[in-house]
Amino acid sequence: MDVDEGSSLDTIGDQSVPQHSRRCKAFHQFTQQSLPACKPVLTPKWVSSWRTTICEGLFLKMFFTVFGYLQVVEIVDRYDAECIPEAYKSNKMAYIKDNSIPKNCSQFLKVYKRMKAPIYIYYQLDNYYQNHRRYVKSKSEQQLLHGLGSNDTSSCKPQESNNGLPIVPCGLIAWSLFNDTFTFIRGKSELKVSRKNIAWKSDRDHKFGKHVYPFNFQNGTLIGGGKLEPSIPLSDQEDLIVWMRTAALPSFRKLYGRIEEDLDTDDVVVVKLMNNYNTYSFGGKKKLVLSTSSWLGGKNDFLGAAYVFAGSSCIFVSLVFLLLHTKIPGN
Amino acid sequence: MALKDRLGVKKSASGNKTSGDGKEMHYRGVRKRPWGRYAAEIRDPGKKSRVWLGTFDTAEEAAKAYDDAAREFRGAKAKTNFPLVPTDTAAANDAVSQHSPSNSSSVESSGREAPEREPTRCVGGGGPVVGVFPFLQQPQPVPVPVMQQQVVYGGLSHARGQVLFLDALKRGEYVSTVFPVRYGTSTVEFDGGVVSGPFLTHSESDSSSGVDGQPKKLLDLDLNVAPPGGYIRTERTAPLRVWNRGPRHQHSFRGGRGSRQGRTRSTILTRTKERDQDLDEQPRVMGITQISPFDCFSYDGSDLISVNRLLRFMNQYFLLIACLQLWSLITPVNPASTWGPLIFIFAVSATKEAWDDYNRYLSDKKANEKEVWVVKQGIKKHIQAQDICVGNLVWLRENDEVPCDLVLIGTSDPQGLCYIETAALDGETDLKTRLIPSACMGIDLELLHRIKGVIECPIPDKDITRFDANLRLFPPFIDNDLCPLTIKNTVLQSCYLRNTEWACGIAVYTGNETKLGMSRGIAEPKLTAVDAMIDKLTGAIFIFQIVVVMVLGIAGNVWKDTEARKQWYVLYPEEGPWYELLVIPLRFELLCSIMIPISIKVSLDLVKSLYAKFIDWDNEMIDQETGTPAHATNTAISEDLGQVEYILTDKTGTLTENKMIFRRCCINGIFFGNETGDALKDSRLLNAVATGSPDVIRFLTVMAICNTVIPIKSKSGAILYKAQSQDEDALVQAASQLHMVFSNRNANILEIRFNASIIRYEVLETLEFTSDRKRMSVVVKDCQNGKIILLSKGADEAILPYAFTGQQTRMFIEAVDQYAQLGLRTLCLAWRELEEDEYQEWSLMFKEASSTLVDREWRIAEVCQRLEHDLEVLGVTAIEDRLQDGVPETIESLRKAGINFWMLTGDKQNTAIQIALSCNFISPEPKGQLLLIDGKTEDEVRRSLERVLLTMTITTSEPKDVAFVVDGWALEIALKHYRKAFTELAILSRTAICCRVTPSQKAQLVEILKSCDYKTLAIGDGGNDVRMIQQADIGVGISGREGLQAARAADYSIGKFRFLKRLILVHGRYSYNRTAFLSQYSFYKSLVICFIQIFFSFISGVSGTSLFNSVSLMAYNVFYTSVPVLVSVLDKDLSEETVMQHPQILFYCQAGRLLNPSTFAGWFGRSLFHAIVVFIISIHAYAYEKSEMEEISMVALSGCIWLQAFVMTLETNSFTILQHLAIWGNLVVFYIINWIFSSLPSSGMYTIMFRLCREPSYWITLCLIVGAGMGPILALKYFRFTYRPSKINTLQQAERLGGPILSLGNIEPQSRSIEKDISPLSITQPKNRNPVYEPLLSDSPNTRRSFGSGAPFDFFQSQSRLSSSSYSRNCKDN
Repeated sequence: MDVDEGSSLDTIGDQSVPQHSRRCKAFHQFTQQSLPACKPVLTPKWVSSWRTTICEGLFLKMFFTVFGYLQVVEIVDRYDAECIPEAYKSNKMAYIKDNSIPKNCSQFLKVYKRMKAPIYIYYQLDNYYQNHRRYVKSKSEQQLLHGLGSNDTSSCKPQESNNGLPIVPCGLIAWSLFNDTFTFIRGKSELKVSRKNIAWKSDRDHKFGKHVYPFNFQNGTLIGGGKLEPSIPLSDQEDLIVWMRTAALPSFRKLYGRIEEDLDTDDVVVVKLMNNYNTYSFGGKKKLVLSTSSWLGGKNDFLGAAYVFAGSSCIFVSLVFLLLHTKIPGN
Repeated sequence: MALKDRLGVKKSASGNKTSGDGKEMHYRGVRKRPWGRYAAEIRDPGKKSRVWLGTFDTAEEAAKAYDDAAREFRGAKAKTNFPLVPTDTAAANDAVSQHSPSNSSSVESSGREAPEREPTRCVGGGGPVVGVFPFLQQPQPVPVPVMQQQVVYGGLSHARGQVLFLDALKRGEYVSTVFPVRYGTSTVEFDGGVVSGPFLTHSESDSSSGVDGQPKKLLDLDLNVAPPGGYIRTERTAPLRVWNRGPRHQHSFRGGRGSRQGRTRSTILTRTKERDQDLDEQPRVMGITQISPFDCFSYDGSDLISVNRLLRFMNQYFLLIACLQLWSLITPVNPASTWGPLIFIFAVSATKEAWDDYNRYLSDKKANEKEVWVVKQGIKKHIQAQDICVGNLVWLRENDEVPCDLVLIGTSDPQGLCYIETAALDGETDLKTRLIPSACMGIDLELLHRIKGVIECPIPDKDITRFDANLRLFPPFIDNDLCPLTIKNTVLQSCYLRNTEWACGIAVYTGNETKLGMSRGIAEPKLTAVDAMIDKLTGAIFIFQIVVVMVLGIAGNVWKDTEARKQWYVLYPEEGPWYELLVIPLRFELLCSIMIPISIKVSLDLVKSLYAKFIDWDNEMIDQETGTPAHATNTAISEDLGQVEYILTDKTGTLTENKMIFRRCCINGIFFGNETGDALKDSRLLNAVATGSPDVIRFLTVMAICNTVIPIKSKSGAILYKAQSQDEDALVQAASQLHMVFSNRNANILEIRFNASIIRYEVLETLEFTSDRKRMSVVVKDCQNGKIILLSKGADEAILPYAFTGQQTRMFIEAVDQYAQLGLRTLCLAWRELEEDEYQEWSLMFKEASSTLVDREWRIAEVCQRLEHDLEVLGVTAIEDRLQDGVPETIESLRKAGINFWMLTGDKQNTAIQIALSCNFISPEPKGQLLLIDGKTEDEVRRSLERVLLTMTITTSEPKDVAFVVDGWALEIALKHYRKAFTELAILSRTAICCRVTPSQKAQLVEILKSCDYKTLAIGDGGNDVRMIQQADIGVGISGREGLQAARAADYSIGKFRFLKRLILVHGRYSYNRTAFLSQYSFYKSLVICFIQIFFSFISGVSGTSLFNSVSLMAYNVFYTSVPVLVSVLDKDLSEETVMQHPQILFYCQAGRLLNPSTFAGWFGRSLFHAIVVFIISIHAYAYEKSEMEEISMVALSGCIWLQAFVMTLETNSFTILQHLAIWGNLVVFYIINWIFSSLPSSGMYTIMFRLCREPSYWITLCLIVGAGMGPILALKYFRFTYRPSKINTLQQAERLGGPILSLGNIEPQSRSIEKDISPLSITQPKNRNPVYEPLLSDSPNTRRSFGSGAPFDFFQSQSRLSSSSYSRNCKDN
């Protein structure tokens, strides 16, 4: 059988049918467990050379990372607490639930470093569990794409229908749509804010229907978050699309828009905002973030710090081993 | 009724010739036996030979039997003991009822006997199974007693024996005499009492004449035979389904069994039918052949979703998980993530089984549909093999394969001989002769088709060396006499007919009930130590999982009530359903279910079968002489090979070549061959032969004819000997070289050519060799002078004690000792002339013994003993059995590897010790020391055992090779009464030699070692090793000269002993290492992903959200992590050469150092660490605006996959192209699969992967994960490798740097102890295994094995001292 074939090849020589025999030889080696193998061994020389390479790599990356993030300018402003009128400080819930109280509010942001356009506007929610299982499941991709045509909205519970009529878009995610709004004024003029193309193109094109219009939305007794303009198809409701990309972490930022103008150092930006969204009941925080971006994206101290840590610990370990190697010569 | 038949025929109750008490009449043809029974015999006028009629309890019965026979032979005018007086049944019954059952010999005999028997038959219910299979066309309907049916009904469920009728249709009287079937100690008799109709017969001479009486029912028989109980019951409920092809469910039952056992050939159903319905359909009824064609597909389905498989715990677990996932409220992921792998895994294993089943089906079909010639109803027909039923007369032509087990009744040979090749059955390639029973001698061809009779045979078993049955033919086949059948009269399924033009026989077992079919047992699944460890670890992980689930479940419920209710966007209802509290724990259970890797069993199955394939493929284990490759029959236990601690080896044929060469002999005190080393070249012997010294001639005669060798003349004129025993072959060869040429065996006539003259002997009896008797004899009649001579050869202790009183046996004892010293095998030859009378009397006893059904072997031995005494010992032969190549080296290496060797041999002590010395088994003095355990009585054995134990304890502190030697006799006493002490000794001693042991003792020794939790390997080559091989954890068979019996029973078969080294050191060790890695890695990768899920639940409100999507989870389990790890089957930590040079390294495997709780803890820690690294880095690197769920999930998953690739790299010791392909190819596949999913708009991860791959931060994150995950592990490994290297590391370094290999020092096996308070019978003390912290280098061996504290010999005192007389040897015990 195979074995015989292999052994005969071994003895008779394998030049006769080179193409065929190579395959046979490989199989023979496989069956005999004698495939050529390289066997790395952890010798000091080998290890130290690799260590050096890794350390160098880490440092290089650290340099680039830190350098990249250093270019990012980020202004974070928490406004949820400040936007409550003094009278309601002790009873935030009453404030936010009372529709008659005007929710508008102004915040002043000082630009500490020159920011180049485009400047991304994010709202940040902390302690908000978009990844809660009840929440994260509560949407219907089919309905978002096909509208009322899709009947299976059971996953949308408990917001799948109201007054016997289906809700479009259904589910808790859509129902709790974030509805604070921001306008930015520098000096006298309003800053030019682009609110288009904030959602992923793929979502607009393939996940949200072009002919699906909101229906029976926020019509129930319990009103969650923002309302949707019934005349605009879902694929153009970019705030909804952004919101529907659930965040994996309880603290997350979502893109609100882009400021298309540069901001200079010491510019003061006045933010006129409508503080509609209720985070007071569960102690969530709302922040407004203006940020430029680098090749690595937004500001992220962690990666830089981690690389610093990794690089230095690598060097530390190298030194330890070097010491060990000189002091206690192993075999 | 039984007794009526007998009476009815020709008994005359009035022929009352018995006299008063104590005095007995002398009847014609009847002889009284010393033990009180009566034997009847008649001389057959036609053949001029004596015909045995059987033994009877009373003289009258015997006399009647004689009368019957006499009338048969000589007609009505025959001289008989009783006049022929027809009696009617009523009278007979009266006679019976009136007759007191006293043992006086008064009145008529049969009537007396029958009533005694019948009740027991009835009550027993387990009567013999009766099959009637007439193939004769009956001229008229013949009633058959109901009792047969009764038997079928009652008997099937506990049938202990069976009776086959060749033609039972009319002759009730035979039934009544024949049927008692004695089995074991209980007598189960046939229920004759149920026969309801009078059972009158007609005169015997006219077999076809009518019978009157009103039979009610008839068993129609089928022949077959009693399948086990429940099976039959189903049959009974549907007796009328006989004619359709049989109930389907039965097939599937059978089939199901067959599929597990191996192949099913044909199935035969038993059925009964009202006779009356078929009276006019006689031929059909009588020839019933009900066979169910074996049908594969009826059971295939049940195997596909193998119930077994589902019943295993792990599968139940996964099934439960999968079912839970169907509940959408609690499922965190798509059910597909569990169902997918589950279905995939079942599909893989089911495909494998289906393929096996299909192949089996094909081969079954081929076997079932083979055409055979069968005589049915007197007509020769061509039918398919599956349609043969019991009782059919099957015709075979030369070179035909035998389709079922047959009792031979005719051959082309005038002497009734035929030759068969049994290679397929036992692997022996020599031709065996088979003989037709004496009763069938001389029946001519035409009559054979019309033969009728009864065969009484045991229930099917798998012993291919025994067939204890009786045959009785019915008139007109005169020998209506019980004719014993032995295995010699059978041809078994799968043998081939050779050198014989034709042969025919009665099918006695068919289908799965043939000897071959029965021996295809279900191999008991063996669980390796590694498997057991994996199961334990799985259990531990399961418990861990439950704890995690409970903690998280409680935390989840608490968080829900404190926090989640405030979160309006989650919209928790105020009142949940009653099971609300359970939802979160169950959800976590599902999330954590991946902790137990679903793929591990399938991966292990796959790699294990690959290990087995590597063994099959290994060119270096091909025996060059015969071209036999090694073969792994059991594919599941390769790891155990690497953990072997004890090897129990047979000697002959295993260590030695089993190629016997006659070297020396001692004839009447003269030693031949001492100078030259070869007696055949000793001129003195040659001279003695030439001068015709009578001693030498007799010696040579015994050598030449006291055997079972078949000489075959080849075309060139040379004589080839076909011998079953190599010793016999050597003797015959040697004799022929000394001009005593055994030239021909023609039936019973042996021809010997001595110088130019031809001497003929007629073989009267052959007293066969058994391992208990240890000798064989033949009784021959010298055709020249008519002298009857007994020729014996055997072991010295089986021959010398039986020398006649005057003979000096000292010189023979000396010769035996001297030869044994040289390591030669000795046989003593002896002879005795017998008186004609002595022989005649003995031959009757022998005949009787050989026709017993119960304990035949033992009874034959007893009878043989009656003849084998007062022998004249002629001399001693010495045969050399050379050691196989490489045996000493192999044993030395394996002993270095810490494996203890025991030699278990049937040979004598001196020979065994010599062989042991010559193959490094034991060291010669002064390094080694041999301790002898002997003694004939319990006391002696005890003392000797105590002494040896004491010495052994003392010498453990010295670096001395101590071995003990025990012989079978002492061993039996030791095992029976001092089991605990002996076990202690077994643990203390690294080496033992057990000589003169029986197969069952070999198995017992294995059992003792196993009970101490040692991994045992038994290696042997012959049928006598089979039990040991099956008993041991690993059985290795050597496919040697003694046939393949051992190799078939074994888990592994190799061609030569020396391959054992490679098998253990290379294959066993690699298998262990690889499985250890593979299994732990499987847990590791599952734990990593599971820990990440658990961590994620802390930042998702403990609500049981799954970070990973279903597709990823499924693919992670099934592809990304389980496929690449499969290439670890190619990993080699050390090269084969290094391992062979440093066998000590095996200790790591023996001690289980690579897979145990602490190594597992390491992997557990690693998985925790990696989960933390992946989780922390990915959630921080992808915080804030990037914290999109799908993205983070893919980042984390990629992190896991990358880490896994590097872990694989780190743990792989040798990279072949396949490893690179698997590790890096897997990464590529990962991206390809995810890109594919990312390009599907409907999938949840649409565009995610493209998006990530474009982001530099993704790659930076991955680098960080890999660096942070692998850095510490690499550093740790490097630290260990450099500063605390294990022996493996040292060898690796030396091997790869090409430097000098440093001395490894002594790797000591760990200490073991037995505590004192263990009961002698169950020694289950676990070994003290300290898996990791074992000091590797321990110079003093005194810590090696330790005793329990206190006096170790207490247990002797506690033993009750039985008198030594209770040790009377009883062959039956063995």
